[in-house]
Amino acid sequence: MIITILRCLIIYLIALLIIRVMGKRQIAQMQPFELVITLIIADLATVPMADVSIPLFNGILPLMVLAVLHFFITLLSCKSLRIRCFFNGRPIILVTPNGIDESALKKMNVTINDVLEACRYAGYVTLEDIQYVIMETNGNISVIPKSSATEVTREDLKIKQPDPILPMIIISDGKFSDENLKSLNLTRQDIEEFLEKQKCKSTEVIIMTYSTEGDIYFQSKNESKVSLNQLLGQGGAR
Amino acid sequence: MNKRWVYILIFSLIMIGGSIFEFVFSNYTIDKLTADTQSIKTQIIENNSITENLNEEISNVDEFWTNQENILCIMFNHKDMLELGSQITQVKTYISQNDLDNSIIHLDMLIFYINGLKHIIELSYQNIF
Repeated sequence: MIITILRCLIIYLIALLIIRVMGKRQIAQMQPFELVITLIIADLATVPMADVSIPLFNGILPLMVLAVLHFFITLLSCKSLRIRCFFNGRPIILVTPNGIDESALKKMNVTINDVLEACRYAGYVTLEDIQYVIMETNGNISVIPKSSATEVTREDLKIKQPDPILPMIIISDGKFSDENLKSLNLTRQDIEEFLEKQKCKSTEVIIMTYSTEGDIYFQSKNESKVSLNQLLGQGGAR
Repeated sequence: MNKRWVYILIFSLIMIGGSIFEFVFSNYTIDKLTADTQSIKTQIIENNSITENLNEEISNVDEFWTNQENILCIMFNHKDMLELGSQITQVKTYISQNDLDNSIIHLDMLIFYINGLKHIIELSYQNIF
């Protein structure tokens, strides 16, 4: 039993490492070659888990081969458009401003019902509102509406609003993020001084975020959230 | 060099190094086993008897196989190697009992299993496909 437990732990950690090495694309939207690799990995990892007579290496080695293969296919796909098209295919336009492209539907083995379904998922009930429908290389269907059917934006109403600044996490679960503090030119002392005024300790803070515009959001344990605008550190108080 | 390249390099080195080691080690093991077993069989047939030194020789084969098996188990299925160990033990028993006929029979079987293991672990198109 101990042997099986140890083998499972080792294979799990190695499979996790392999997936991490392959990158976040592997988890999100998969291209065909990535889908193949993911399916194979799942199967390969379980083989030595189930049978103790099979060496662990017989499960780990194929995972390494797939990781290396994936890496080089991704690298070549980045360097060469032809190779990218070979492994990933090309996006195909199913609906154009002139209407449905029947030959494209047949080529992609997609029915008009699939197209209408994708439109409804995107929030459009009629093809009249659609400019383009594109079948992407990962199998998703993208719907691009006509300008007349898109939502009104601030630009349309001529409302000016500055672009958002990404706040950075300063404290998470009571622990400082020194990397983020450094990038914001802040020190722990600056934060401690601020929190002292708020009658709170850093170890009690669940989350604290700060942006270069001085937007502060923090919440301590058993307290409500606090949002305010105050420049910290050398920026001083407004 | 970014982290991913490092991992890929490590994996590649493990694969290449492991493949070379496996090829060299398994060939060496099979060749030595075959040679030693054939030598024992030849001696028995030529002398038409089991001489004293054969006990020591078969014990050496057994010890050699035990040591090699410990490493081969990391690379190959344990079940594929069980029978070989069992045959070596049988040969050792028959030789220690001076049983000429059974010694020769089981030496032949041992050679058969060694060749069988060779077919399983060698690099060949049958194993690839």
